[in-house]
Amino acid sequence: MMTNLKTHEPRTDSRRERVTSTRDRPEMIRRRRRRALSRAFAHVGVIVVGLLMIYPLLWMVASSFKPQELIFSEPGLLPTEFTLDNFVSGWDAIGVPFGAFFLNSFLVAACAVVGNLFSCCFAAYAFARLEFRGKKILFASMLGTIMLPFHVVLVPQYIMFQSIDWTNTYLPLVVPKFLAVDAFFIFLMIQFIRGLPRELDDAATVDGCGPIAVFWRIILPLMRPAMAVAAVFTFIWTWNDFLTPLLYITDRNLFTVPIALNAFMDSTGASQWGPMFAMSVLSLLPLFVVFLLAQKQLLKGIATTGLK
Amino acid sequence: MVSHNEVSQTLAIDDREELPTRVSPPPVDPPRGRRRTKPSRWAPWLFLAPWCIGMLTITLGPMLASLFLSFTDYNLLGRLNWIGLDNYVRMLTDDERFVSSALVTMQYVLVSVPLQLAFALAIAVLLNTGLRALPFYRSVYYLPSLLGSSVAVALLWRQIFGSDGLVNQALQGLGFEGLPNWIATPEYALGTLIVLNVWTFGSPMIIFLAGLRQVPEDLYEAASVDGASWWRKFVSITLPMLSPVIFFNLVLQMINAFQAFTQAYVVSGGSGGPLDSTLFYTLYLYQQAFTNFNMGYASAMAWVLLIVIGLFTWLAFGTSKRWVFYAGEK
Amino acid sequence: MFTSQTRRTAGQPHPRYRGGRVAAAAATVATFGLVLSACGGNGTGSGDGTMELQVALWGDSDRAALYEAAVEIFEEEHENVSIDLQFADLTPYLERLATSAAAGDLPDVMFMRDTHLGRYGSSGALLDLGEYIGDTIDTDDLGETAAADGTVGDGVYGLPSHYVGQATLYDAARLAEVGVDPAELDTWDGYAEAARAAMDTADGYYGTVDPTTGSTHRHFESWIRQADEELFTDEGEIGFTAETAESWFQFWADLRDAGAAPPADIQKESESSGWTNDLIVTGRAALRPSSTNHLTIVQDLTPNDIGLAGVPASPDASEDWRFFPPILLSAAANTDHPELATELISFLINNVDAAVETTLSQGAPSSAAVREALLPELTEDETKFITQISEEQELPQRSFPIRPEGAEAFNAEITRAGEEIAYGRLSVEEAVAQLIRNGERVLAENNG
Repeated sequence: MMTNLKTHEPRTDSRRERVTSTRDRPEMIRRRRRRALSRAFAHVGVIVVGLLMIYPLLWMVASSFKPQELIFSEPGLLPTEFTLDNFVSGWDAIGVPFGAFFLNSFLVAACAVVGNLFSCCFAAYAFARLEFRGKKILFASMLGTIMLPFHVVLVPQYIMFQSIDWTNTYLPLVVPKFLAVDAFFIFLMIQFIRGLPRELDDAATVDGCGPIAVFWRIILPLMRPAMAVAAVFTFIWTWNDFLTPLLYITDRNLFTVPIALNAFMDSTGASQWGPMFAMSVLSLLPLFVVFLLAQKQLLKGIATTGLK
Repeated sequence: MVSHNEVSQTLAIDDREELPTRVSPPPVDPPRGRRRTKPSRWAPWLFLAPWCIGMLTITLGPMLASLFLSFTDYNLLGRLNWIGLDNYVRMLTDDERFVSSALVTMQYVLVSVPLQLAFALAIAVLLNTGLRALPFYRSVYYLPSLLGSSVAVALLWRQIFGSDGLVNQALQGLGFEGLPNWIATPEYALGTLIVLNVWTFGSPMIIFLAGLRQVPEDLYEAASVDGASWWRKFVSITLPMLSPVIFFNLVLQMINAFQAFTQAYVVSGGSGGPLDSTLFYTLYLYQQAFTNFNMGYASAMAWVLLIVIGLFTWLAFGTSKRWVFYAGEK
Repeated sequence: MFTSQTRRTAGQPHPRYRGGRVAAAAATVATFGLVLSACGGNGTGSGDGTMELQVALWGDSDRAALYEAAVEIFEEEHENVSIDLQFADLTPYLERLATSAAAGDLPDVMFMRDTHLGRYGSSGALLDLGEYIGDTIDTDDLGETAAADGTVGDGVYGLPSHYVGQATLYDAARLAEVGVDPAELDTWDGYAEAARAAMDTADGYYGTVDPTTGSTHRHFESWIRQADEELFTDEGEIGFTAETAESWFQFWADLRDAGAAPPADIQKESESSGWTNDLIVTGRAALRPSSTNHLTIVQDLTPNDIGLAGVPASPDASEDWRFFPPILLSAAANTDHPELATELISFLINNVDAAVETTLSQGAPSSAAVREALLPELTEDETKFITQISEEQELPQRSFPIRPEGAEAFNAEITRAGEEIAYGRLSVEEAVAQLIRNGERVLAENNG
């Protein structure tokens, strides 16, 4: 299928040229006008839908600036009373400044990103390009790990990590990432590698490169976009993960953000909604920034352009 | 500017070979008899080493432990007796809540996956009109997906679908009366969770967007010259060219939907109420494991789900031949 | 059914706790050829001779801060002791507790729900405090039933640090407005009449909150005990008759039909975010069955003046029906410092300075002496609720059954029955029949 690609591309290219050459000027102007109009419509559409999409988030942001007692009684977005109290009290509520939890989460998420990138590329390359015995079974079992609900492996895993004294450390959160436990990303990367024409590998092999050199010189550089996808998704998911840190981290100095947010909740009494909203809003900011920074790479990554 | 190219080579690409149950044709396709990377005995294992270690130490152990526990009455606190297939038999013949949770999940999968994909695709098309502020819009649309499983979600949802929530206020403004209390009415509660799932459509949208940008522009231009309508172009160019990406999203979102847990857990406070109308399969599994201490039973449920998801994935791969169009394979 | 039979015929005694854990670990290990180092007790000794105690409680950061201050006093009194206080909201707390129990890694000292004591106690995960009573643990100021509250089989696996009583909260202004004397709330008939008097259907105002669809069913249990029955028998089976349960659900169904109790969806919605949207907090109901300690929570959340009354009782109710669910303190069976852990339990129960820090965060202190000493420190509402419990505890009370294993699932079945009726899916008789059918099964599954 890769070889067909070669024949396909030149054909489309030549057709495009043909199309362009048949265009005359008035048609282009009409076309441009129509485009401007449809563009304006598109903008309006995008904005309206976008507002609907983020209304709940806006409500959360607005609530974080409202005094606690108004959060539920006052439905509107604009606070009639504006206060920063939620931020002030939320920041210090847990006995450790909330900034520490951001640092903790950042540390864990960053390690997880490094770990996933490191381990998943390797495994994906082996699955996508190399031949070895037992590949089918290994591949099927890898997919199987995506399909098993994680709740039933929580306890055996906890018993395991506890027995080697890893509780109250980040090791149970981070080490698995270095061992490619997130099979989802292997699967994703396999797909990317398969999108790369095999001719490149073959050419390199002819030049005397072994599998390692092929990986290092050909595949890895081309995988950068794919890695951006994995990095962003890993970062966001690790940042938001609640259950795993809940089990392993009990020392509040080591809390990650979701655990810290849960510390505002008291389902048997009165929860501290105001501070919870305030800190939730703050905790979205780093994620948003990461996404903004990475989205260009992300988009490229999913499309695996760049070959040619 | 779109560069001509491997639309399909991107994601779904060679998926057809990746059927878990049908891994048989080795993903490296030999038929063309091209020079292949020289088989090396140790190189694959070197690359697989981290994954193998992880599989053996972290993943496989607990997975097999759960398989073993599914044949026991393990209660987390020491009771551990081998009871053979009892858990499985009971689940399939004598557990109303199991059946109702399976039905809830099936409904959820069948409705929310197509809806979410359609919505993500629609937004992606909307965002693909070459607008200037595209990166900004993209980020805004991705925002809801960043929220994850935060407790805040539950409150937000109440604020929207509650008896005097946003939706009802809007509908009242349009003159409707006697509106239901969406989140607390068994008939509608699942619907609100489906909407919640559709709302967090960020990841498939991004993937669609990428796919759309890869559809060669000249195809559209040629169609325009032939006087094709927008809809015609969408149906006969966009959809076929995008089918591999649609397929990829379909499979992944399906797996996700089968395992849907967090949103129902957060919104219903873990109960799956009212009247079990949002008791997802995994939520019931969780209750059995951690509320009722029936870890053996929960493990059996997990393995049944694994088999069901595997089956559906296999089916999806099986039908893909008929509707997924690989541009590289004309 | 068949599962429990299989288990019975299997005839294996419950393996003791540690054995089970090892078995589970061994299963993990054996199946995959992993080698795990044998797990010891809680690794809580450090090199410099400092003894470390892990203490776990449920609640939010506010409660954690109160207890932080309390254990600091303990640390000051004991050289070389360092206390690591862990907390999480109730649901995550219970999940963490279950997971760490499976790994034999329970905190040295933990707050325990009365609903979970039976399960943990009988599994062998908890330390038998009986041996320490009179030694490191002082129970002199606790009532006679204190040790019984935490007794499972032959061992005392928990001691009450606080008690929670049942009560009725009412909107004082509303009752005055409609001319209801709170004294009328003493009987169920009076309660129903007050609810009907206070409601205002046109205004979306309800007479009373409906407790049947909620997650705790203490008032249901009061009703049952007033009929001289129990929720559970000593053998862990259903201890009440269908008639009694039906009369309870019928009582609330009648109020609902009359508009004095909210329709199911309004009620469920109000339960969805803790106390924040409770109907009495948002000023949409005049009466609410609740616990005594909820008085201060509700009063803090609403500008309305909230009053406290007892649980209604029928004139022909049994005399000794009252019961006080305890908040318990337990220690891990495999703690490295049983003496110290039990000392801390005794400290949290008896120390007045600590109690001044924690006040009534968990309920009314179990120790009469602590309660007495706290009185001058308390607000008016706090005094009200603590006095009510003190007075009621003077009344005769028969023992309060330990929750059997499966009680959590049984509790969910009660809620389910309440919802089936409230949403109009089942009649009262059908719902109770379903409750008894499913309830028997979940209890049998766990105790077969």
